Amino acid sequence: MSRPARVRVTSPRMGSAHRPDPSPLGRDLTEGTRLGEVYMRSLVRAQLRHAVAVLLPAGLVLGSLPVLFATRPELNDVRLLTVPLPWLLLGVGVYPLILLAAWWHRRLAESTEEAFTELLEQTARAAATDADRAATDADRATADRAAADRAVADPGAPERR
Amino acid sequence: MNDGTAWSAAVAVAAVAVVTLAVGAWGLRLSRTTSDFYVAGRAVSARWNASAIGGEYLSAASFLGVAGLILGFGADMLWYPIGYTAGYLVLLTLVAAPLRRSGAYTLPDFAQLRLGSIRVRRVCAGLVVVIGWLYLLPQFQGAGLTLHTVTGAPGWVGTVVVAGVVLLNVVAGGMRSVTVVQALQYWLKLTAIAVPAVVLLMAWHGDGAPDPVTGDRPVARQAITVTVPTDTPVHVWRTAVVGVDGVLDSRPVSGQVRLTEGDHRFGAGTVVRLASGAPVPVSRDIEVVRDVDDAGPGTEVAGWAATGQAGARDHPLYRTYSLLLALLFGTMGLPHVLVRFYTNPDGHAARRTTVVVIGLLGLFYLFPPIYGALGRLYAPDLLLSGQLDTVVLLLPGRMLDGAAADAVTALITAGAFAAFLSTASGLTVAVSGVLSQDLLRGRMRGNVAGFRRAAVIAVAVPAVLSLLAQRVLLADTVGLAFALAASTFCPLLVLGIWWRRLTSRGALAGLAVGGTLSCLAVAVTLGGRTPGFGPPAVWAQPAAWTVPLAFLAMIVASLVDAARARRRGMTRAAARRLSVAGPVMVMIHTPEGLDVPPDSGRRR
Repeated sequence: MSRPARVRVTSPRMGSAHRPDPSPLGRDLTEGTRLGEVYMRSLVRAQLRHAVAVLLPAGLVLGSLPVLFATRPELNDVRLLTVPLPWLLLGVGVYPLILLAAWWHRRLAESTEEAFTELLEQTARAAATDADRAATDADRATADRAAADRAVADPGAPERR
Repeated sequence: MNDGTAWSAAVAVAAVAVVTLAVGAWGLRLSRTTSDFYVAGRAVSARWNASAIGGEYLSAASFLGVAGLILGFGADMLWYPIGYTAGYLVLLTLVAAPLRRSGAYTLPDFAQLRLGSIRVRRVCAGLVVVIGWLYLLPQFQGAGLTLHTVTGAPGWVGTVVVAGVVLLNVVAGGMRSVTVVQALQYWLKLTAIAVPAVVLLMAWHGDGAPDPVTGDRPVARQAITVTVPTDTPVHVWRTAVVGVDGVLDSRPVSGQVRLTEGDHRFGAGTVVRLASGAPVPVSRDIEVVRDVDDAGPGTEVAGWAATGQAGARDHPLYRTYSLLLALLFGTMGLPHVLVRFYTNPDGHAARRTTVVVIGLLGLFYLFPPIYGALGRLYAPDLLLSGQLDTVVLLLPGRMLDGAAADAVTALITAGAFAAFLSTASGLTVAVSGVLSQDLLRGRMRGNVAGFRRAAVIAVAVPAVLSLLAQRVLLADTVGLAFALAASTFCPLLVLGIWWRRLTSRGALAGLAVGGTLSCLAVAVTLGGRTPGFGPPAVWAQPAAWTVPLAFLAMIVASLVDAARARRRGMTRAAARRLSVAGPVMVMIHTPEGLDVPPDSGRRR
């Protein structure tokens, strides 16, 4: 059995996940139209807000601890289950907090993205409905013109739509 | 270390090495194309991936270094594992999903994608290699130290073993096999640190549960012989008669000597024999012993365990904050972290995996402090010899006897070696990938042979350096790698993902500033010589000034660049398009499952 030819793959860009056919609004996003800009800006700002909403409190809590322990050294004498308080806090206590912050951020980010996706799909659907209506109106206009032509050609015939 | 322990530990190490190679070889059957050599295929599930990331991340610093630092410097060192874990939180919030959506494999990939510049790509590639080598160096040193401590083998044996296994594994299987190996190794490492900790705690309890925190200065519980490896200033806190063979206070000495209370100096290679119950002289590089009488509140707890009193190291508060900055913002820039990220199928999975990683890391880091505290009671001689990194390896032999000591030491040694192997493998893959894709020239570029040649270089340089370089504590060297990553890749990633106006010239300026400044600090710290100005703390923990300066440089340079482009007559819109921000930003920020056309404007 011959070995299959070796293919040189230097940087196979897996790229983003497969995207289905673009909607008009999707095209707005990539082509950088003003509407797309608005949507992008609001999405990015929301995601940045989530990052800050999680990092800022976590950072403040963590960041205050060194100063706290430095200015209140008597905390080292406080013992819980024979372990000094700083050891308990820094060695055990912070980890569930960090995990909680991580979990909370994931939920925030995912729900924002779902909302954004919903919004875009709704807008796309609304745009599609408008387009349909416009198409139906155009058909009706054509039919009216045809009937008018017939009326002109044959004034006696009953109106037929 | 008796023969029984030495042999069982050696067997354990051999077993870890063999299993690693075997699983790697099995993985080789799965890897068929060159692409599998860079990132494992879709076969990797989220939970496997989280274990793999955790397994790869837990290096010598986590396994050995943290406990050693805590033994020497007390509660302030608890910030190291906190920083290691919280760094993933920062990664999750700022970088995880957008980076995965960009489709880039490596940091240089992302740089080129976002900025469209080959020059930035090359600079990033160079940085990946430097950071990778800086992180690999302590892994090899740790391996040599471990084998030497546990089996008495010369220092280079451990280094060669790890380098050899890593090279074989990486060259043969690339990343796919490494993924499986890493996942299993997390659970091995967790077992290897948790089970002995529990056993040792039981032994401690059986010993009457002596309090490691309060109480007297360090005392030898059993007769110990210590070899002082380098010229060491010490503080003897109680007059005692000890056996000294070597140089004491610049005079050659042999036999029993009366060491008076106060400061003394042992020459390199001096052997000190401490009887049971003898006070242990403490190295003044580790601890500045304060007089108990003029101690303030909070020091009924012996000075070592209290916070804010990090022994002989100056400016403990600055060090803590600067360290935190480096660890929190450097994680995202570590080469072996990001590469493993791309095995996630999409941005959603990337986030979820990261949350699991944080849980796994937190679980692991509950255990090293136990060893640090017990070491104060049962391995106080390390405060004299300065070999703090060995506390985890030595405690079972000190606290248990017979078969139990052998078995537990073997388990811990296996875990330590798993730590070196996995981190070194991950780093080697990342560095080799970058070397072969971006930095090698000629026909070797970007194919399998090139990758293999790059792997040899990637392993050889730090291995050789580890044999030559002066010994610095494991966690300190790793901390420097974090500082470098935080000063270079963090600004690039954060600004590249969230700020439209980053230009390639701005990025180059920021990378240059952050990279040069932090490399300077690294050189100063590793070289052991402080320049005339600045306290040692500023050079040992540079992140507090290098990171803000790097950000500033990147921002200012980008704005100046854009202003200059406008002056040259380009419209604002055209200038913005020049940084390929538009389509790229859309691609990395829009959620999965949205009807967005694939980016047509992206340069390939």
